Amino acid sequence: MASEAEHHDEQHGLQPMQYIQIGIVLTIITVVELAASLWVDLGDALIPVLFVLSAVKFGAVISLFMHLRFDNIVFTHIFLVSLALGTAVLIALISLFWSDVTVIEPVTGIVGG
Amino acid sequence: MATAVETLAPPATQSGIWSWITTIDHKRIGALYAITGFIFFLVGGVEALLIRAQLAVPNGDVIDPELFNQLFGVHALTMIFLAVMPMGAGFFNYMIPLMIGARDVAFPRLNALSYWIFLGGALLLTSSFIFGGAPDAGWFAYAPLTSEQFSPGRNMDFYVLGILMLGVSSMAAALNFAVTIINMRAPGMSLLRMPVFVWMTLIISALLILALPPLTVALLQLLFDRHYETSFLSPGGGGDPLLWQHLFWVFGHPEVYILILPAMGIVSETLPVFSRKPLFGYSAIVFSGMAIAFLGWAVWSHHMYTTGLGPVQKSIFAGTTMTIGVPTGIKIFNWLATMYGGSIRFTTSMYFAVAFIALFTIGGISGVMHASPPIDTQQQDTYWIVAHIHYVLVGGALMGIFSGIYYWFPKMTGRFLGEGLGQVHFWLMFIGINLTFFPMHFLGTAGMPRRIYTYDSGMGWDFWNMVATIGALVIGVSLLVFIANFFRAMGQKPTAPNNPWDAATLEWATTSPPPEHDFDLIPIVRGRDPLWFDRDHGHAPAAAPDSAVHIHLPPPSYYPMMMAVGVLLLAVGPMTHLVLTAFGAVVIAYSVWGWALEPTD
Amino acid sequence: MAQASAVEHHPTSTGTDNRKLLWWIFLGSECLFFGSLLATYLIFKGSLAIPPFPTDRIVDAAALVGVSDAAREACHSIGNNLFECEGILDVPVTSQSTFVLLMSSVTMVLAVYGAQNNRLKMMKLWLLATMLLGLAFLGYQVFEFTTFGNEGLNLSSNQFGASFFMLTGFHGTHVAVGVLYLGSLLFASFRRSGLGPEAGFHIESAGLYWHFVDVVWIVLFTVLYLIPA
Repeated sequence: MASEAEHHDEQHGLQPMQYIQIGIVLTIITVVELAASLWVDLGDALIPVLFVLSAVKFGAVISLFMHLRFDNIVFTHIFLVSLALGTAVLIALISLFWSDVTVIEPVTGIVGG
Repeated sequence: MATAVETLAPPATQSGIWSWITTIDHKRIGALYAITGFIFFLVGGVEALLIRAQLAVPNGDVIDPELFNQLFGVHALTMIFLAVMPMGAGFFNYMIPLMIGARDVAFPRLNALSYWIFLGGALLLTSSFIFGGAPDAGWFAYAPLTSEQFSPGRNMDFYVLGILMLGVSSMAAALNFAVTIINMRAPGMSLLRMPVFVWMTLIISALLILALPPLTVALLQLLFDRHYETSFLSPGGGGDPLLWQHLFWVFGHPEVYILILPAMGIVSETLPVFSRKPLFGYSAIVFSGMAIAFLGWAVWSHHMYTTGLGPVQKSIFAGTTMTIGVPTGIKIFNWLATMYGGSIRFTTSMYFAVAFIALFTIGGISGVMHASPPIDTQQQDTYWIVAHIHYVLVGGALMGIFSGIYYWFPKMTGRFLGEGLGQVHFWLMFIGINLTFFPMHFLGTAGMPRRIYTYDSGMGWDFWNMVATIGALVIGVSLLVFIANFFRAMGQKPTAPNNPWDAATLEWATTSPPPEHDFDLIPIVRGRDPLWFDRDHGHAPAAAPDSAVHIHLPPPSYYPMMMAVGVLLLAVGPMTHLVLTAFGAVVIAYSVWGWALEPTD
Repeated sequence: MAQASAVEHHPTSTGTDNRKLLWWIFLGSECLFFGSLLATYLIFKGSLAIPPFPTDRIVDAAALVGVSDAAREACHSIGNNLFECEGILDVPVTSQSTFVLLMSSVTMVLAVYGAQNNRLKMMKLWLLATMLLGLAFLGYQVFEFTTFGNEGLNLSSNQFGASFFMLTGFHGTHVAVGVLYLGSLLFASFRRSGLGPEAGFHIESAGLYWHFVDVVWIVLFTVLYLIPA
């Protein structure tokens, strides 16, 4: 690109066109997610597929848009440890409630759905 | 050439009340935290004495039940959030930059903001006694006791909004100290050369940063339940009161480590100095601290064994809770090994440190006992639990803090606290603590429930309750001795040399009290106990620069104080009129703008 | 002449900028905040008893007792004392707002690029675009909340309403704060001194926040809208 020479020394990250390409890829993934959820019957595979696709989007944004890939590894460690802890607490809370009949009253109103 | 060191702080800011309002000096903010914390400690102590006076004899009528409920709730909140945490924060603020060889924290203005928001939250919470009733549902505020239906007054609003403000303050402080410790260390101070107190501060900061959000969510749910018609926590509307307990204890259990780890850090500094021996098992103590912080996340439901958890869940939480005793035990043995074979100087600070180990161990052992669900089911909600938490928090956290006060007082003020009065203070306090809290074990096993405002004679509780009340008075007298000691010391001329205790850490390399810029020259760290390493390896202390040094300090700022006022208005809004919230938001926006544009050079 | 520098400009122990480190630690904390809100939503999702429901469900008449008229209209009798209730979530509409927020991340990263490469016009243009996309997302959210309100879902209708509005509402608040943040940067960039020598850093910080809010929405959109009951 013409502006190549004007780059700062500490410049890191990608070029504008590459960011736009990533944006297109993210859009495509979102459309695929939508299709998998609304129009295609994946059965039991749906939830894992959605999780994987979302994780790809999540990873692309934090590593490329937020420059984690080009930055000091300290940031990655801090963020991923916090994310892992948050996820662990979320899973622990949900399983504590969902697994225990004395906590959640059996639902009376619902027959099927 | 002259060896003068000039600072370029505006002269008008050196003294007077305005200089304290606009200060961003970590030492002044530390002093503000410590003094405010101590004043609230006395407030909490008076609350405790009223409680003990009411319980001294059967069918006591010193105070009525409503006031009693408010007192035991606010006593806990005051001691935890307004006394022990700020006194710990006072040490962080004052000591951390000095101990890592920095000139200030990473974000001096953010540091001031933390203090002012803390003060606003503390005043909001305490003002509840004047404005229609203090929180009366205990510090854990179990739902649905706190819902509008069962607590129609303003009491729990003060709780929600006060704790939210204190949370914001703690969050800001924790972010600041995490960055400071990670990024502002002097050359040569690798992570494993940091003093243990610095390590513990880093761990506490991480715990606060990660544990406050779940509490914030729980408080917001309570706020919405009370004011905006949701029913997250009230079973009548389909909510689940246990949700509050889970979210509260996800925060609450890391919180107890937030309270005790500063004390552990302090005694890890004082024990080696007064044993004239390096800390035994430094790495083991550091990694135990990390293990405690990590496991602290996996034990919260041991507060909830009696809420109907399944057997699998109970087993898991019992296992993790017992496991967390292991790193704690590792620390205790390392402290003992530090003293073993040392040439011990029995200063008052050392007395408090040794008493910390003894009393904390008693509290730790009773803690491991109720890690077991069947035993806990028996002990739940009895005075046994009260005995446990007070051995850990008073015998543990507070003894550690007093060890730190006697140790660092010369550094902070240039004056020594009297050793004679110090000994009187120590022994009165030590006897008072055991007299107050040990009998509570007996009361607990005899079945006396917590939080009752009176009891009948003939339950077998009369004698030990009277003993506990006498013990509480003894603690009160010991604090009067301490206050006398403080004012006596402040009336003397500052005579303390740089390093009166022959200590090893960097804060003792500068003058007592330190200059506004902390160090004339940023020290270079060559070993784990820098001053001892330099002494033993013949490194002379860095010479003062032979030409004038301009140490450029950031100018004082009134925006932190202004923003804290905005936050207070924001918080008062939901209780009074939302116009105040909007006005608070405007004040915050204005101060953010001014803050961002203010020159920091 | 020794010249000690001001506190915030020391070379740091890890070589990272203090303020950027602060941002990342803060975002780590936000993970726990949204994690707790999402946990609340999922806990209550398992035990929803009365409409409006997020997705289609069949219930018996007992579930409709005391339900608002608006929520009742979505439930049609299918005989045998059973009712089929239409789900309230409108995935196609929210997909549009998701797309809008995703695009705002692209425009944001282009603004960061412009700021870091001293191309100030590019920076201002893309900042403005990001703000507008953020406002569009908020517009979609206002539309969605209003529609749901008309269909009988509010903070007090049931646990789904309470936890859904709390969760997406706090996300929307974050977006709104982000719009104000970007707006104040854009405003400041028109001053004579612009954003100063650290323009790249200031826009990058705002970008970190903005992208994080987008990342949260990636998770929320998947868990709330795409995964069926």
